[in-house]
Amino acid sequence: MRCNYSCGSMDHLMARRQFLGALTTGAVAAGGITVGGLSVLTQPAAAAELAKQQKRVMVFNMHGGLSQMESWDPKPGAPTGGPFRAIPTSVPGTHICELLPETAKQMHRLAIVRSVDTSEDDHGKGAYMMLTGRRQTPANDFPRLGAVTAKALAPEASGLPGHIQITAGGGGRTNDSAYLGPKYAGVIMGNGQPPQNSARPEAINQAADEQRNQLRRAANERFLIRRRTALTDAYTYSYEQAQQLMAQRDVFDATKESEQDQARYGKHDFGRHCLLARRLLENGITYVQVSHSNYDTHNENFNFHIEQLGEFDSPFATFVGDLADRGMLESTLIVVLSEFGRTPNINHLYGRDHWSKSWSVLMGGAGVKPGAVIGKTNANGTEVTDAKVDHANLFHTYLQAVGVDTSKSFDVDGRPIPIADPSSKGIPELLA
Amino acid sequence: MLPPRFVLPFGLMLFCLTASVLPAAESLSVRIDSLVEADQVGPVAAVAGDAEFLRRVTLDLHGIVPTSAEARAFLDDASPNKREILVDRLLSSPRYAVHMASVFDVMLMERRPDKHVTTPDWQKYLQAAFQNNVPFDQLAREILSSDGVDPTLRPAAKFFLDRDAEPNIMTRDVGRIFFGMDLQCAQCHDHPLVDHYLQTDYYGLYAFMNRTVVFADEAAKKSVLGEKSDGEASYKSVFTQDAGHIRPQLPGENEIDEPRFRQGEDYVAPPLPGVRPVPKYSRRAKLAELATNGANRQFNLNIANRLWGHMMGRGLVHPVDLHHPLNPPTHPAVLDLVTSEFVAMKYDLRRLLRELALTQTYQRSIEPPTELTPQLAAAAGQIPGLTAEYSSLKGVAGESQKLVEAAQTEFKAARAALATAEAAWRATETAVTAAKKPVDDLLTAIAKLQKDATAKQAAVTAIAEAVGKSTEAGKLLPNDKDVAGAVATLTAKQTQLAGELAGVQKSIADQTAAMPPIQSKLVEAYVPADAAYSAYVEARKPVDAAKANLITVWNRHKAETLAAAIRKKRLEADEAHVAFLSTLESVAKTKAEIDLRKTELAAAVSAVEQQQLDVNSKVNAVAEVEKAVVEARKLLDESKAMLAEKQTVVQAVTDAFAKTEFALQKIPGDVELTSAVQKLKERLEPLVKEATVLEQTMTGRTSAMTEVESKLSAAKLAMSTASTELTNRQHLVGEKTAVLNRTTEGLRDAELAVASGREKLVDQWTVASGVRSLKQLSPEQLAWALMQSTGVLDPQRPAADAEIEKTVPKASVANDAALAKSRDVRVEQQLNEAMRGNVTPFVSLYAASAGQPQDDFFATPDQALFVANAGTVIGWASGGTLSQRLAPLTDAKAFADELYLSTLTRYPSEIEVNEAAQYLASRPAERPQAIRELIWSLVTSAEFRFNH
Repeated sequence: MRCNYSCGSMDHLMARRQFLGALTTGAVAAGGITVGGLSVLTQPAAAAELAKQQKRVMVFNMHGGLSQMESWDPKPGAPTGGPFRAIPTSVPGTHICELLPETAKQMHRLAIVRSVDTSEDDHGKGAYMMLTGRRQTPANDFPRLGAVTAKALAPEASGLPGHIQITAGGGGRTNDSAYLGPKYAGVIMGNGQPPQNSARPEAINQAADEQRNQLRRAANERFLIRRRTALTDAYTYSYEQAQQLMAQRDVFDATKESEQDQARYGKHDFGRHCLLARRLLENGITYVQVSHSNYDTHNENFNFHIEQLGEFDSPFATFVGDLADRGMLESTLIVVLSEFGRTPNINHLYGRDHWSKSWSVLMGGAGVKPGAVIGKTNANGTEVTDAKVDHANLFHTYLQAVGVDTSKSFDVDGRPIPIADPSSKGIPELLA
Repeated sequence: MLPPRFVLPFGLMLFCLTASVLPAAESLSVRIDSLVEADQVGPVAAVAGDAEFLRRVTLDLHGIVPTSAEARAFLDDASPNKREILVDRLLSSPRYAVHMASVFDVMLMERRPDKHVTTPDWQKYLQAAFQNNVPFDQLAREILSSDGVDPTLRPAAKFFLDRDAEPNIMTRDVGRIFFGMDLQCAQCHDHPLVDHYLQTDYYGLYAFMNRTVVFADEAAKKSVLGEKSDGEASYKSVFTQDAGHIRPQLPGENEIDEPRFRQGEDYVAPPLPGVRPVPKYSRRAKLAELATNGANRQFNLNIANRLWGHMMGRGLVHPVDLHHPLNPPTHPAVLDLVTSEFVAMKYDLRRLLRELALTQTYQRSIEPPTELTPQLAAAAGQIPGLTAEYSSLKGVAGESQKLVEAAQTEFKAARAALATAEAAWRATETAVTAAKKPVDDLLTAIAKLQKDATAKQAAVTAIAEAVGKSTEAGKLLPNDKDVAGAVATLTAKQTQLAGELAGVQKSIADQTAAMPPIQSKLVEAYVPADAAYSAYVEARKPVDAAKANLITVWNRHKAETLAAAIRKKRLEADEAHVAFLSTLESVAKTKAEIDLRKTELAAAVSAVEQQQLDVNSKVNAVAEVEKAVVEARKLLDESKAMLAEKQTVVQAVTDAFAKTEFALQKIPGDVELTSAVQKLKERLEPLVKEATVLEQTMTGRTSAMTEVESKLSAAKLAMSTASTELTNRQHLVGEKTAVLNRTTEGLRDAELAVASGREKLVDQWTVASGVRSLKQLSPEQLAWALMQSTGVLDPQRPAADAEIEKTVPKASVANDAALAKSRDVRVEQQLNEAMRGNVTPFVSLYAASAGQPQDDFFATPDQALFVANAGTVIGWASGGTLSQRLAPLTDAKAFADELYLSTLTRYPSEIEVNEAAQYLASRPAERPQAIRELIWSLVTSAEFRFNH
C-alpha cells in the first residue's frame, strides 16, 4: 500500500471537510455520516433531516466487573450458579437472571453476547481493552470508543460536544482520545453537572457579553481579510460553538425533564444519570457513557448484586423502552459492558473474583439484531463453547453497528491511522 | 563517511551549481533565499511589515509578544538594519534560552508526566544548554548517553528515565524525535502504509536500546539507567513470517560491528543484587556516538528540518516525523543546504536560527500575492519536461527495485547458509551461560554475605563502644546491680555478635575458596565458545557482504524513489497551477460569452420593440378601417331604410292606382275615378323615379361597403401577421434570456472553481514557503503572550529580581559582565518558575495528550468557554497594568495606540481608533468594564491566537 502525503497541507484538508463541505455531498468520512460544515447553519431543514439519521452510542460501564451469572448468562442449579433463578424474557427461549425483571421485558430489543473471552483479569487493563478494542502497549496509546465515535460520527459544526461521560464527580475533559487529539476527548459531567465554564460570569451581563463578542468578531473580520485559513475558521468558530453551548445549557439539565419522568427513572444518581443520558442523546450528543459502580464483589457477591442490579434494572429498562418509543433505538447503539466478568467459582466469602475467560456483554439498538443471543458457555459457565469473541471483535462490532467502516483509516494531520485493530474483525452474526 | 547522497535531478543540479558558484562570503540566509526562489513554483508574498516581523520573531525566539514600549521603539526606529539588530538582541537574551528550553522540552518529552527527573530540573539543564549555546550534537549525545548518575548530566537522562526505559517507547521516540521516522507501525511487520519503513529499521534501532534498564539506587534514593550486556533484538513478521536477529543499525546504515566480550568478562559492574549493571561495551553509548558524529544523514536531516519547522511554521518535510522517499521535502536543495551547513557550523543552534530568521523566506507576509499570471504561464511550459523526467526517474527507481529484490534473496540465502555455524556458536554460548550460573550464584551469595558482614560489623563496633562505656560506668558505680547486669548483657551480646560475624566471615572465606573450581569450569567453557564464535564470524562474512550490498542497493533505490517523488510533487504543483489557469480561462471565456449573449439579447429586445410599433400601427389601421366600415354601414342602412320607405309608398300608390283602375273598369268613365287614376298615375311616376334614385344610391353604397369590408380583412390580416411576428420575437427574447442566465450561472460556478483553486494554490504556496503560514501559539506562548499583553507580567519581573537579589545582589556583579549576565539568567529562570502556575491551565486546555505529537492545531468550545467565562483571562484583562495604563488616556488615538501595541503589536487603523472611542463613549459610566471588554476582544481575536 502507498502512503501519499503529496496532498500537502492539512490546512486544506480541514478546510474542505470542515467548513466548505456541502451538506449533500455529506463528507462520508471513514464510513460514517458527517453532518458537514457551516452548511448546517445555513440549511437548518436539511440539517434536521440528517440529524435524524445521526447515529449515536450509549455505553453503560458496569464498573468493577458485572457478574455474568447474576445477569446475562445465569446457570441456575449448577454448582457455580448461585442462589438466583433464571426468568423468561420477551424473547422466547432466552432467560436472564431474576435480578433483572424489567430488563427481561425489553430483551426483544437487545442482544446478548455470552462468549466473551478477553483473557485479562486486571481492572485497568481490562477496561482499556474493552473501550479501545486493543491490548495496552507501552509505546502506543489508543483512543477510547467515545473519542473514536465522536471523530467518526459527531457533527463537526455542532455547538454541543460529541463525547460526554457522566461520572460520579469532577469535571473538565477526559484524557482518552490519544492520537485523535483533545478535540474528541470526553466532556465530563461530574455527577451530572453541566460542562465547566458554561455559565456566564456575573460580572458580565448578557448585553456586555454580546458587545464584547461583537468587538471580537469585528477584530477577526479585519484580520481575516488579510488571510483566512481552516485554522482561523476553526478558532473563530470555537467561540460561536461556545456561545451555542451556553445558549443550550438546558440540554445538560435533567431537572428540566418532567416530574413524571424524573419519578420513572428514580431520584438516585444512576436514575438521574440515565434520564440525563436520554436528554443528551435526544439533543444530538453522539456518545454518552454512564458508569454504574461498583460490581467488584470479591465478597458478598449475591447481596451486592441484589443491591446494584436492583438500582440498575428499572432505569435501564425505562431508558431502553423510551428510546424505542421515541424512534431513537434504530439510530442509537446501547452497550452494557464491564472490564471483565466474575468467576464461576464462588469463594469462601460468598464472593466471585475477576474472570475474563467466559463472560457476557449486552448490546442493542442501531444495527444490532434484536433478540439475538450469540455464543454459549458450558454448563458451569467456566468455558466458552461456541462463537468465542474478544474485545477487538466487540470494538469492530460497536462501530459497524453505527455504520462505521472499520477497515478504513483516520487521517490524523497527515498520518493515516487504522480506525480499529486491522488484524481483527466484527461479529457479523450480531448485525442485522 | 557520509552515505551516498541521492542522485539530484538535472534541474536541481543546476541550482546546486548556481549555489556553489556564489561567493563564499554570501551568508547562509542569502543562499537559502536564492535556492528557495530558484525552486519556487508559485509566486511569493511580499516581505512582512515591521510590526508583523517584530511579533513573529519575538514569538519564535522568546515565546512571548513584545511590550508596547518595545513595539514603539522598534517601529519608530529608522535604522535600515534594525531587523538584524533585533534578531541578535533576542538571541543573546536569557529569555531565548528559557523559551527554547521549553520548546525542546515539549519536542523531547511531549508533555509526559514527570517520573524520575522533574521538569524544572530538566528545563534548567536545557536552559543552560541554550544559554551556553551547547552544540546540538553534544546536547543529543548527552541526552542519549546520560545514565543519570553524574549530577550535572542527570537531567539529560530524563528522556529515557521518564519513559521507564521501555524499549519500544524508546525506539518509537528516538526514531521519531532524533531521526524523523515514526517506525512504530514497523514493530510487528514492515510498515503497512509506508513502503520504505522496514521491520529491520525498527529492530536495528531497538537493538541499541533494549538492553538499557532502569535501576533503583536505594542508597541514593533515585532511579538511574543501567545496561545489560545481553539481550538480542529478534524480529518476526506477523505477515511474512520472515524472522531474524539484528545487531544495532542506524537508519540508512548497515548493522554495526561490535566487540565480543565473554560472558562473565563483559561487565564493568555485573548485575548483582543492589549493583547497577554497567557493561564494558554499551550499545546505548554507541547510539549516542554514531548518531551524533556527523555522519548519519538522517539524524542531521531531522534536526535541520525541525529547526526550519520551528521558525517557518512547517517542516520542509511534513509531518516532521515522517521522512521517507514518498514524502519528499518541498525544497530538497534547501533541506540539503541547511543540513550540511548546520553540520559544517558544528550544530550551532543560535547561529542557524539567526540565519533562518534573517532569510526573506522567514520574513514573507501571510498575505498571498494577487498577481500570478507569469507563474501560471511558466508552469504550463514545464509540464512536458517534468512529465518526461518523472517517467524516466520512475523507471530508474523501478529498475533498482529489482536489484533490491535480488539483494534480498541473496541476503536471505546467505543467512540461511549461516544457520548451522550460528546454531553451533549459540549452543556453546548456552553452555557458557550454564557454566556461568554457579559462578553468578556464588557471587550473589558472597555479595549477600558481605552485606550481612558489613551490617554485623557495624553492630559489633557499636556494641563494643557500648561495652566500653558501660564498663566505665560499672567502675564508677561498683555496687549498682542494674549497671553490672547491663554490662553482663552487653558483653554477652558482644561475644555472640562477634561469633556471628566470624561465622559470616568464615562463610565468605569458604564460598570464596569454592570459587576457583567453578570458575575454571567457566574458563573451560570459554574455549569452545571462542572457537565457535571465530568460526561463526568467518562464516558470517558472506552474510555481512550480502547485507552490505542490500543496504547499498536499498539506499540507492530509496534515493531514486525520492528523486522521482520530488519530480512528481513538482509536476503536481505545476499541474495545479495549470488547472487553475484553465479555470481562470474558463471564467474569461464565460465572461466573453456573457457579453455576446447580452448583445444578442439586446438585439432581440429591440426587434421586439420595433415589431411592437408595427403591430400598433396595424392595430390602428384596423381601427381606422373599422370606423369606415361603420360609416359605410350607416350610410347603406340609411339608403336601405329610405328606399324601403319609398318603395312602401310606391307600392301603396301602385296598389291604389291598380284598385282605382279596377274600379274604373267596373264603373267605366267615372269622372271621379278617371281623375283619380290620372292623379295617381301622375303621382306614381315621380315616386318611381325617386325610388330608382334611391335604389341607385343604395347600390353605390353597397359596393362602397363591400370595399371597406375587404379593406378591413386586409388590415386584420396584416395585424395578425405582425402579431405573430411579435410573439416570435418575444419568444426569442425569452430564449436569449435563458441562455444568458445559464451562462451567468456557469460564470458563478467558474468563479467558485477559481476561488477554491486559488485556495488550493495558496495552501500550496504556503507549504512551499512562498507565503507565510499561520501557526498557532503553543499553550506556553499563549499564556505568556496573554500575561505580557495584559500587563500581568509587569510586576512579576521586579519580584523575580528581588528574589534573586536576596542571594545575588546586583551590586555584587556590577563590575563583572559575565556574572551580571548569569544573574540575568537567574532572574529569567526565577520568573519562568514563578509563572508556571499561570501557564498550567493553558497547557491542560490547549495541548495535545501526553506522548502524542504536540504541534497539531485544534480548537474546542471548552477553550473558548474558559477564555470567555473563567476568571483567568477576564481577571488579567481588568487587573493587569494595561487596563491601568489605558484608564487615564482620554485621547482616542493615544488610547487605541496603547491598546493595539500592547495586544497586537501594531498601531491601530483609523477605523479601529474610532471603534474603541465609540465603544468607550457608549459606556461612560462603566469605563473600567469597557476597557476590560476591549482588551478581551483583542486578545481573543484570531490575530492574537496565531503567529503570523
